[in-house]
Amino acid sequence: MKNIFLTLSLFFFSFFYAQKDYSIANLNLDLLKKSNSVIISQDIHLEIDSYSSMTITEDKLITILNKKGLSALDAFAHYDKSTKIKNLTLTVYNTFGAELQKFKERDFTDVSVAGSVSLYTDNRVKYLDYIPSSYPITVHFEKQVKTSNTAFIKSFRPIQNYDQTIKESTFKIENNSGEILRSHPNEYSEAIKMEQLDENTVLYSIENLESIPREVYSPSLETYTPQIMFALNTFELEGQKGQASSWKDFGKWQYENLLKGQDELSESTVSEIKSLTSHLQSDAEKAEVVYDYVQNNTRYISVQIGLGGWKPIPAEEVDEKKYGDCKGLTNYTKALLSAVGVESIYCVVTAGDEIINIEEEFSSMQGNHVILTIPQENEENIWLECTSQDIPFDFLGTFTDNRRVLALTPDGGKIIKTPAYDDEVNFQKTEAKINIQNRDIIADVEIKTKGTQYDSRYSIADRTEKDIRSYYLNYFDNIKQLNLTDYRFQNNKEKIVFTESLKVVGENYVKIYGNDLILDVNPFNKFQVNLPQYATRKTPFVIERGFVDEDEFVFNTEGLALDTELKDIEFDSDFGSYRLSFSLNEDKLVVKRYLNLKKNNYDKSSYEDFVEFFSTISKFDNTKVSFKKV
Amino acid sequence: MSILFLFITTISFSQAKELEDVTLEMLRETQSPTDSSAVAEVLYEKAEIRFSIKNSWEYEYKVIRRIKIYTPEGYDQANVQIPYFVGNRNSDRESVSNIEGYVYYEKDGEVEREKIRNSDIFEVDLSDLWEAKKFTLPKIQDGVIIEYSYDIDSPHINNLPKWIFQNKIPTRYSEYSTHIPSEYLAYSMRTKGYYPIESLDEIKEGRIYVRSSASQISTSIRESKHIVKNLPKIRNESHVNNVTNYLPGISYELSSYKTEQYGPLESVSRSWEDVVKTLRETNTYEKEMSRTKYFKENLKTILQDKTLPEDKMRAVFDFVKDRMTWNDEQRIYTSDRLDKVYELGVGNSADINILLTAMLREAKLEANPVLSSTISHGIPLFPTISGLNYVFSHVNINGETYVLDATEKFTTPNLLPRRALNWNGIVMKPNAFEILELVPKEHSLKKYQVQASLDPDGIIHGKCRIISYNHFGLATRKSLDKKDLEEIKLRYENNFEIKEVKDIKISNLLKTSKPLLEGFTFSSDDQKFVEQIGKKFYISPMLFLKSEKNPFLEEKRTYPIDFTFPKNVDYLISMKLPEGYKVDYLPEKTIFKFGDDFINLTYLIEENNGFVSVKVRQTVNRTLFLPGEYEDLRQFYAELINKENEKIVLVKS
Repeated sequence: MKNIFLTLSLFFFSFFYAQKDYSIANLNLDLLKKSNSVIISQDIHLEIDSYSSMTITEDKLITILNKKGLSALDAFAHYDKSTKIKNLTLTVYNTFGAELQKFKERDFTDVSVAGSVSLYTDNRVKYLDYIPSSYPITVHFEKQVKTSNTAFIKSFRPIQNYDQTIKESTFKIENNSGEILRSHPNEYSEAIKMEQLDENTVLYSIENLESIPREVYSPSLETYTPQIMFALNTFELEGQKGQASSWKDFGKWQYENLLKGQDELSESTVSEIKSLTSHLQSDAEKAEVVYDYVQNNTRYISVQIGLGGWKPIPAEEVDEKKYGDCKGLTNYTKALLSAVGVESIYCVVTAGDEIINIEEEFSSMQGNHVILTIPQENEENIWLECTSQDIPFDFLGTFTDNRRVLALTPDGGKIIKTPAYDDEVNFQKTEAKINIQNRDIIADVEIKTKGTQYDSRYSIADRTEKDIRSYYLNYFDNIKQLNLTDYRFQNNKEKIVFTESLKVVGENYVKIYGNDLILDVNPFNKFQVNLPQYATRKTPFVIERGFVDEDEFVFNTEGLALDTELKDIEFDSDFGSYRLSFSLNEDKLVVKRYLNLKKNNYDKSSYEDFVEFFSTISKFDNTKVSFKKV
Repeated sequence: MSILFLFITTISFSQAKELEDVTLEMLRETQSPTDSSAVAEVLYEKAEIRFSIKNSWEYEYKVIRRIKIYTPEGYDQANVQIPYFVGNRNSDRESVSNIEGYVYYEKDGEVEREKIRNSDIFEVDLSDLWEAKKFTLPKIQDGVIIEYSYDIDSPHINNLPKWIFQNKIPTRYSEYSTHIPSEYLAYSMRTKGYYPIESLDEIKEGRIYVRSSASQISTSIRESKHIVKNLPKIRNESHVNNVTNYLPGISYELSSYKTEQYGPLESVSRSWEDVVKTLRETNTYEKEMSRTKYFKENLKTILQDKTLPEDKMRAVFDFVKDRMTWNDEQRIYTSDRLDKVYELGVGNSADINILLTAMLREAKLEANPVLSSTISHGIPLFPTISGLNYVFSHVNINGETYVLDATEKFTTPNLLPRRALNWNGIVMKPNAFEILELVPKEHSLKKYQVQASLDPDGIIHGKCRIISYNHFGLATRKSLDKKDLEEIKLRYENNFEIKEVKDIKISNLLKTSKPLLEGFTFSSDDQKFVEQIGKKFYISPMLFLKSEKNPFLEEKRTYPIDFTFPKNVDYLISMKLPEGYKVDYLPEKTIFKFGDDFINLTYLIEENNGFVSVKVRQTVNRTLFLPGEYEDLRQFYAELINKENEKIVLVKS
């Protein structure tokens, strides 16, 4: 019944738009069933009139098939002092192609985009929160904005949503400015057709794209779907004119216009920081003291007004107020370092747990965060994240690791790479001494973490007792009745090692059935990830950061006689390795475990093996032995 | 059920505190005297309300707050947001003035103070109707004390700002005081929560400013102060329907006012009778309830071949559910003229259910709106308008009563959505009202039936059927709605942690008058329920249906535990044993009871001719438990889960 309705309504729709051939009647209906929305057509038109004037027109015809598809509507437009909205219209059609409702610009809600992240910004957005009374519906969304900020030019990235079928998507770029416009297609852009319409105009188009489902461990869409980037060699940013055609020039321009002169400090601050570091010899030692000073004296607060979105507030002002955003705090740290004779470089990065590079081959406005690096001769560079009060010196964690960033030096821009954390660095060692008392286990457990495992752990120490208790109830959720009788933490920021020392009691952990006493040999580090089994995996998958876990559990088995044969387990695959070994001497059962999950990118065809790998590990991690009482 | 709120006490007044000067000793404190883990602490906060006459009555809301910062996790306290209502009309607009902010810190053995600059105070809009002033205080370090104050002028005298004495950080002193010109305005005051609120009330002669004549009038002012001292920080726990029900708070709602200078006081919400009367005269409950023209034609078609009143009710109910989509807004007032809403097909809870009630009345049924408060809105203990946020419909057919809510697709007569199962509702009749208990009396039932067989190599194959009634049916229908079989398969595989789910069959998804049926086959060797250790098999008799985790993990509890509706969950499992094996050990039969049979578990198991059959029933008879019962409840659940996780041992025969 449902399907007939869908076919009918889509048919009617194609009829309604027949003259423009928005036909979707010939789309495979099975595909639609897997979609939440269908882009019948999306046309974006960029007109660049001069280096300081650009008009962006978007015309989108989209069929929303269900509630989940509603988020693909994207019925909003950003604006600020430099960007004006010229047209904003949304028209809703029912399944028979008749107009239901029409919204004009004044019907859109107008708010600041500040949200909870920043204290204040002068960026605003007009949006429409439209809720249909039934599905499917078709929406015609038209938007036009005019901006003087040509430093950013929208990329053509047709696939923006999961579970969306795309019938047709076009991108027309018309450059009448006389300035040079560069473009850069990524390696997945083959399917995009390019047509030179006239001397100044190029039309890009793509059609009939199947929907991509959201699946676990998928890389982000932008890393494996088509994208063409654009940039002007002469551009404007919040009233500042710029000129650049390479990362070297672009970095130079940013350095001159955004950073230079922002690093003045008051004399009293300069003498204070000098006196704190005067007894130290090496740059690294001095930098550590300066970093500590910044961490202890400032906090992260974001206020973005006009060019303030790109330009750090002066170091002197951060010094006065003791707060700043990432740019302000990074520039302040740079200024303090400079005051004690340590030169550092301000670097622009795309931050986030997902690794996204600054595109090396194409210079344009990119990135969303800044960090600092101190070049070291014959050694690895030092890297500083200046917005956190407790992250260790020279440690970036998963927010900015292993990716290309833009370094702004006085000589110009350079693309350099932040350090990667290898499997062996992301290390965890769990050691436990376990006594068995009737049905309970009583254990001393020590967990040491390094690398990215450190990154996800060290903040436990700052939580309240209640939160710490719930954390361990969840962490050891295989122990149904857990009592945490004592806990202590040691955060060695110098060596970047976090140690958790715990005393726990697991009531009823040992199961007694008749005369059999059953013991699960891995109480404290179970890998239990249950991957979904898709009929067919559609997307590639990635382990962005690997890790190594080592465990040693020593059970005191006094008074118990083993009733099972102990067999060591060794298991290797493309995804990693697993070892579980036993040794029994006198009254001690020693269980050693090793697990390595490798960092790598994988093709979707390997997914079944990946599921198998995880489920094999979870099976081994549930190994039990049986005893009899002596 | 009123046991909950007996703790509210008003004890005699001790001493209101004035703000002291900040001293070095205060700046040097490194932790809260009452909670060493506190990241910051409210040392003093006070709100004061005074009235004046501008265009009409207005109040001024003056707030001052002083906070001690202990650690960097407490720095967020220095980020301040002051929301205020702007509305759509100028006359609705509130305004904020006199914002001041200070940071006190120690420098060279002296107390230093820095004031926030006006240029660092920003204005942002939060929505169409609300704006806010935002600022952050400079020079924040461990140990500093921050202080800020502001005034809000508001014309919205129907409800004075609500005050919660407790904060996410410990609070040493919190005061809320009002100065009400009692000859003109009368308020009903409500307090709630577990902590005693000290109150003082006195009548004094005072003055009220009148802008039109730029003069002051003398009148008696009722001064009330409400104080709570030494409150711990707010804790959040599982199985609490809505934590704000239990936080110590105070609210003032206008109960009567004088229309002319010497006229009598007019009642607004002094009793439930007043509330119903006031609402009955609003547009929503007067005009919209009686307009029928726009749906008359459609109604005629719907009722065409219906003669029995119950059939008429169902037909109208199904029609409204089908035609209208709820926009997730919980309201007691309609958003627009209902003919427009009807045309668009989208509306809030009042739009949809007032429409439903009006149509039912036009169908000659005795239908009335029911006013209530949803779980997330809290419990209205006293007569109040603002405490109500939801409306649905009540029908009486020859003494047989029904409640109907058309905001959702899968509700049926007498099956309200979970959000509405909160305390009491008020049936608004044309000339009277009636209190209606909303927590269901009838148990909701869910049945699991599994037939399985175990292979000698440790694989279990079987069929599972799940039958859900009432609230279980509603919840499951919502979760299965519009899902394809692939998604449902993943759902089963995830929820039950089983593999190779096949032959999924869902029946009665849309047929809400019947129980919802789910069925599937499975095959699994998951060690969670079948294990081979040495030469023996260890099998969980409840297979994948055993409870894994105690829902009450935390050791202590502050708030009541709410199961929302009474329920029975049945499990019937029959399993064929592999050839050549016999039972070595079988768990014991038991019945666990909690309290006076408030919750119980019956666990029956037996072996017969190579089959093991298990019959388990979990029953919840009482839905609300107090924190004092938590320890026992937690222990009960631990035992229950241990029982469900016991195993059958099989050996080779």
